[in-house]
Order: sequence, then structure tokens, then C-alpha cells
Amino acid sequence: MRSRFLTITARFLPAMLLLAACGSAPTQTAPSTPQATTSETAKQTADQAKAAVSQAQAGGTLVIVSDQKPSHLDPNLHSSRFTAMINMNTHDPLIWQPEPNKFVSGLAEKWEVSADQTTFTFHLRKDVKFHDGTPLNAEAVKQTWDRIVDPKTRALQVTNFANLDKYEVVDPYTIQIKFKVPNPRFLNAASVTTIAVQSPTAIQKLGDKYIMTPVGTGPFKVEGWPNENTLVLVKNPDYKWGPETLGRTGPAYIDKVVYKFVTEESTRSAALEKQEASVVENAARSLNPQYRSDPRYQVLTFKTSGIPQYWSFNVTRYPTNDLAVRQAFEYAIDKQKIADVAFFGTVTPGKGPLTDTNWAFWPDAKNYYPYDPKKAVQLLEQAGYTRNATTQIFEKDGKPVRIRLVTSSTNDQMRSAEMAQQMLKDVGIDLVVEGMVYDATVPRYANNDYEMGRLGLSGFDPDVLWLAFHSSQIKGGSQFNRTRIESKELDAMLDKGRSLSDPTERKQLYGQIQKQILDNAYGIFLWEDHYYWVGQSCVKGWAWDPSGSYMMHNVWLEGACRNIKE
Amino acid sequence: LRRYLTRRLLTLIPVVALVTFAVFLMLHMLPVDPVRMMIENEAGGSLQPVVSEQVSRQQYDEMKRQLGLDKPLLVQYGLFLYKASTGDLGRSFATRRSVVEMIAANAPSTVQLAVTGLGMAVVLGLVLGVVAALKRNTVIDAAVMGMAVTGLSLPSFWLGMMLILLISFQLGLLPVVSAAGWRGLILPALTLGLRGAAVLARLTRSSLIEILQQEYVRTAWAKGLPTRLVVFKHALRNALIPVVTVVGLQFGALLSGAVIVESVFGRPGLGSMAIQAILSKDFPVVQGAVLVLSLSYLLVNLLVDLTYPLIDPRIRLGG
Repeated sequence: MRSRFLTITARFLPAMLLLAACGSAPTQTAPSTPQATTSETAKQTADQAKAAVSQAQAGGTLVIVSDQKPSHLDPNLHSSRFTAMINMNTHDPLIWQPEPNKFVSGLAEKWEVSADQTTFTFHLRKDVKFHDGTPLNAEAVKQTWDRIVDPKTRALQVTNFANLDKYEVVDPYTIQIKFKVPNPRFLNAASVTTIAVQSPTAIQKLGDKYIMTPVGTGPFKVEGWPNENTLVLVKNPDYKWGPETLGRTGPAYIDKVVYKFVTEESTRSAALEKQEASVVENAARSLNPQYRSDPRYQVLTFKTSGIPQYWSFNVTRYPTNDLAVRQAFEYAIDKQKIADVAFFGTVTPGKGPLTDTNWAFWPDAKNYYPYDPKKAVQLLEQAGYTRNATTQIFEKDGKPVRIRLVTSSTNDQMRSAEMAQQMLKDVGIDLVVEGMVYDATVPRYANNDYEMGRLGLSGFDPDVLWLAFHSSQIKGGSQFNRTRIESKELDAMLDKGRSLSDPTERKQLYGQIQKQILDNAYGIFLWEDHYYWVGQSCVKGWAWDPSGSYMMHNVWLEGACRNIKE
Repeated sequence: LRRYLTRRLLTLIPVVALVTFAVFLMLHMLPVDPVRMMIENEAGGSLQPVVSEQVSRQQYDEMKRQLGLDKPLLVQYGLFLYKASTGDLGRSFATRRSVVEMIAANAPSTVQLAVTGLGMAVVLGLVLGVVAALKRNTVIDAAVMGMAVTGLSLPSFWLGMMLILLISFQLGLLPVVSAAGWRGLILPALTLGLRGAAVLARLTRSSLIEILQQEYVRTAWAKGLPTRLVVFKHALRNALIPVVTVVGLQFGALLSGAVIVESVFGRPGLGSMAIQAILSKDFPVVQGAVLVLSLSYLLVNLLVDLTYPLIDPRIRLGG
């Protein structure tokens, strides 16, 4: 008994200690980089799912303990990544995207895109019913979209209809939408739940209450909220329009999904350990070595797509206005070590301005700035900096190479910043880490009171680079251009990338953009974000779609997982 | 008494108005725009900006207008007060539900937690305090007081974790994540109540020891009354006045403790509702939560004042 208690304590304590103190990072290096990622693995998981189908057992309840309590569940209205994951199981997109830029039929069995990418026509299946029995047809799609574009709805997903010309019901099962400019991104929107069709009768009937219990067509229906921190979904027995790429299109195996929302990380870990949770969202990364080695658990991870977590150099201030300083900084950082130590091996080092999961990733990016502290010192010396005899920090004209990093004060961010600080000190660069809550960083960036800023932007389309490097985004728009770079050449390329429709051409152009960003060292791309979830091993058939939502269509439960109580 | 009550209730209004005004000012002094927050949405350190750049100025202004954030600050506050006086606390920015409805949905869980926690604190505190006072300067006294000091020094965050570790893991008695019903209530209430119990035990002990030295108690002993009667009828009743006052004050600590306890155990409630609202800059919900929490604190303390004459008939609540 005692020894069992000790093992549990040993397993449980690190998380608590980390939370309490966030002290020195352990020197032990966590094993292996995460495996499951994107297209390759999406395919892999789909194959695994197919293989699992034959031995699957139906029934049971899946208990997901999560820290991401949704404000509401209406996919058209919110912009929350985590809520979108739930929606992927309660709603269906018009088409599915099993791999980047590859689409297969969903609620629309066929679709056409005009050559100029302005007109999209969707032909709907005729056998689909919403959870409340209302049949799906073109009119339902139209009414869903009407509601989104109505300003009174305050639907955040209205952005998917930017530059809209019009949409219309062509026949009872065909809807056509036209844009004023080419909109190659619309198929992406149609392949996730952001503009998913919802039951017009339910919207009418439920009124204000609708957004908490929306009615879609997915494999699970929203049953309700037994209390403020618990959400229950139940199987939709009539479901037969799932994506063929998952191996089967029929109803889900599990009867019920219960979400419990618990903000405290160590409580979530404890729930997993005590078999009160089948899956834990955002599990304790510090326990990664144990989770990986313990056969009772499986790590369910997904690498997001977009710009990795990065620090942008402010090119308008000393010393980061000097390319040599920026490049020296890049060479001085051992990204692999940060991924292994600060994140316990749950993330992968950044390779360039886009994650390698983004379809427009430029492979040559990998060759830039390997860890080489000697070269860092050399670059600074060549550029005329000299080391101060007492501080050992490089300086020019009496001004030290001192860089203030404005970043978020979360444990992850602080641990990695402090590691970088030490690495930079070794090459004579003084990094001042100023960690604060996100809200407090905003005015610092707005007032140009920093040499380095932090950002991570997720996005399926490489156009996400526009937000981070276009000159219009310094003071205006998103204000995400924390590099404060105003380059006509870069602007022109980024603008062109938005209007091109041919993927090959776009990929080539975005390759040039990535090269430009790396050549000029506008930012250091530190690590690629991964969702870090842990499940009991007896949860089978878990799958992610390329947008990073999980699909519980084929999840089934074995052995002990069938006894987890809600 | 009625006049007294009316006067006390009327003084609540300016106090609550002041508290909400302070919170209102603090919220609006934050260098952050709730509309932008809604649009941006940070997920795991990574922003989801897909939306923001395309939300046109017009849509943004429309959202601001609908949320009432386009009006001058004082007007916004005036409107809040006016609506609050009619029982309307507005709608949440995030969930779009009426704040009154959200409070009604969350309050029972917090009330249950606070009342059980307070109950445990009072029972444990009084029993231990009386025992310690009667066994003054013995090992028992030292043990009880040692426990009380320990209880006082433990942060409820840590205590909750330890209770989970001990009772849920080691003994396997109760679930980790708060379940429905009484089983889910024990650990959170205990976490919440132990601290109050420690305070009350110390206070009861010292207060009772003082009273036990009074002449009338000595007279009671001299009359040959049984210990039970002396302690409970004569001494404890008089010792209770300061204790009851502290119970009222402890209620405030209990409410703030509930915020932490609710998040440790994943319980729904006003505390976790307020935390989530603060993080997402959901102004109406924060305002509503502050209003309700401060009001309940004030009311509990009014209730405490009302119990004084019951304990000591010499006390009269005058107009």
C-alpha cells in the first residue's frame, strides 16, 4: 500500500511542484520527439482506424476531462479552436479534407469550383437529417448562412464571407456561392465546421437557448449541460454520412461522451490516474516521460499548422536593427534543447517561418541557423562589436547588446525564455526577459517599447504570414507585425500570395517569402506547438483531421475504459 | 427592529454601488479591448487570428455598439446601475446568456459549498476549541492548537491537492473530480472549512478560557452544577459573541477560498464563473459576480449582527 502511494506521489508531485514554483528546469532530457503529426499521420491514423474497425466493440461512455470550457457551442458564432473540436463531432462540414488540399464528399456529395475560384456550387446528399429530424437541404444551408452574415448575429465566422457577391438556392439540393474576388480559401472553410449547416427549425424553436445546445447533423448530438461544468453528447443512431476516409460512414461506436471542465492541471492528471477520465485535454507536459513509458496511457498529440511560436526582432530599435546581431542570436539558440527540456519533449523545434505541417512549408528552411555559438561570437566580432571586460557582454559605442523580450508569463514561455537567456549569455548577448500577462504585452508592442516580441499564429493557409510581416499590420489591422518591418518587396509578395489560386504557383511564391524572412532573420522560430492530450490505452480509434480537430466517429472502448463512470 | 433593519439594508445600496463602481473602473482601465479579445482567441499560446484581419471596421463597430461599449464610461456605468435596479444584469459577451440566469445556474453549487464548508468550520472549530480550553495546558490542548496553526498556514490550493492525494488516491474513498451529490462535496468543503475551523478553534479556546475565569462561572461550579451545564449553558454562550463575529468575517475568506477550491476540484460555481469571465474580459459577468458576492458578504454580516440578541439578551439592536 505504502509503495503504491509513493509511486503515485512521485508521479503526481512534479506537476504540483512545477505549478507551485516553476523553478529550475530539470536537467534530464526527455526521450523522443512526438510522433503523431499531420498529413502523414492523419493518413496513418485513418489506416489504423480502418484496421481497428473489425475488432471494435460498440457501447460505453467516453469521459473527456478538459480545461477548455466552451462559452457556447454554436460553430458559426465562436472562433475557439477547442470548441471547434467538439463541433467536429456534432456537426458535419460540407466536404471533408482528409489531407491538406485533398477534399472528399461530406454533406455535399459533389461540388464544383469555377476556374477563376470565385464560384462554388455544392450538391447536397438527399438522405441527411438534423438531430431534430429536420431534413437537410439547400434552404437550410441558405438560412444558416443568412444568419451568419446578419450583423445582428455577431457571428465571428462572418469573415468566411468576406468579398461575398451572393449565394442562392439553385434547386432544393444545390446551393451556389459567388465571391467578388478569387477565394481559394473557401474550400478550407467548407471543410471545417465554422460555416457548418445547422437546423433552421431548431434555431427558430430554441431562440436564445440555441447556442448552448445547437442542432447539427454530426455523429453525436448535444444532449445538454447537467451542470455548468459538464457537457453531455449522445450518439446519433441515424448517422450514415461520415467520411469514407475513416473506413466507415455509419453511427459512432460509443453511446455517450461526457466532458468535464477542470481548470487545474494536476487535478486533470489525477483524474486520468484514478481512471475517472478516458482522455485528458492539455495534460501535464512535465509527466511526458512517464506517460510515454507507461503502457496504461497513450499520448494523443497533434502538431498545429501555421507560424511556429517565435520571437520577432524589432528592426526599428538598437541592437536588433542590425542583421549581424539578429543572426548571432539565431546561431546562439539550441532549439532542440529547449524543446526537450522546457517542454519535456512534447514539441518539435521550429524550422522556419511556417511549420513543416503547413502545405506551403519551404524545405530549405531547415538549413538555416543551426546551433553554432562560435559562429554567433564571430558574427558579432566581425560586425565591430567588442566584449565588455567586466560584463562579458558585447557592445558598440558603449551601448551593450541588450535585448528586452516582451513575452507571456506562462510557465512554458518563461522556461524557454530563461533557457535562451543562458545560451545567449554564453555568446555575450544580454537577454532581458519581461514576462507578463498577454493583455499587458499589447500596449508594450503598440508603443514600440521592446526589442523582441512573442507570437505564435496558427493557420492552415500560408497567408497567415501576411499578418505577421505585412507593413499594414504594424499599427493597423491585427498589429501582429511585431518585427515592424516595412518592406515594399515583401508586401508585394504577400499581397500576391493572397490573390493567386494555383497551389503550385502559390507554394513557390511562399517559398520565396520564407527565404526572404530567413535571410533577413526577422524572427527566431523556436518551437512548433503540439496539442498534448493523454488517454487511457484502452481508448481505441482516436483520429485527428488535418485542421487539428479530433474525430470520435470510430472511437471505441476496451476493457477498463468501459467501466469509467461519468 | 424593523427600523434597524431598514436602515441597515439601505446602507447596503451605496456600499454595493461603490464596490461595483470600483470594479467597473478597474475593468475599463485594463489595456485591452473585449471585442478584440473575442475575435482573437488565444489557444495554447497560439493565436487564432484567422478572423481578426477580416472583421471589417464596420463589423467591429457594430459589435461594439451591440455590446454597449461605444458609449462613454459613466453612461455605461449609469446604465448598468439602472438596469441592475430593475433586476437586469445584462448579457454575457461570451456566452450571450443573461447574467442573472448564469448566476442562478452557478449560485446553488457555491452556496452548497460555502454552507457545508462553514458548517464544518463551525462544528470542528467549536468542538476543538472547547476541548482545548477545558484541557488547557495539556498535551491535548497543545495538539489541537498545533493543528490549528498548521491549518491556518496551509494554502487551500495545496491542501486540496493533498486531500486528493490522501483520500482519493491512498484510501480510494472519494472521486477526484467533483461528482454530483454529497460525495463530490466532501473534499471541497473540507478544504474550504479547515482553515475557518482553525481560526474558530483558536478563538473559541481563548474566549472560553477567559470566561471560565469569570466570577459567575466560579459561582456555577461552586453551586455544584455539572460540567456540561457550566460549560455549555453559562460559559460557552458568553464566549460565542466574538466567535460569531468572526464567523461572519470568515464568510468573506470562505467566498474567496471558494474561487480556488472550485477550480482545484473542477466544481461549477460563482467562483469558477468569475475566473473564466475575468480571463475572457466578459465585463457584464464579472460585474454581476462581484455584485452578488459582495452583497452576500454584507448580508451574512447583517445576519450575524441580528444573532447577537439571541446569544446575549442584553444586546438590543436599536434604531
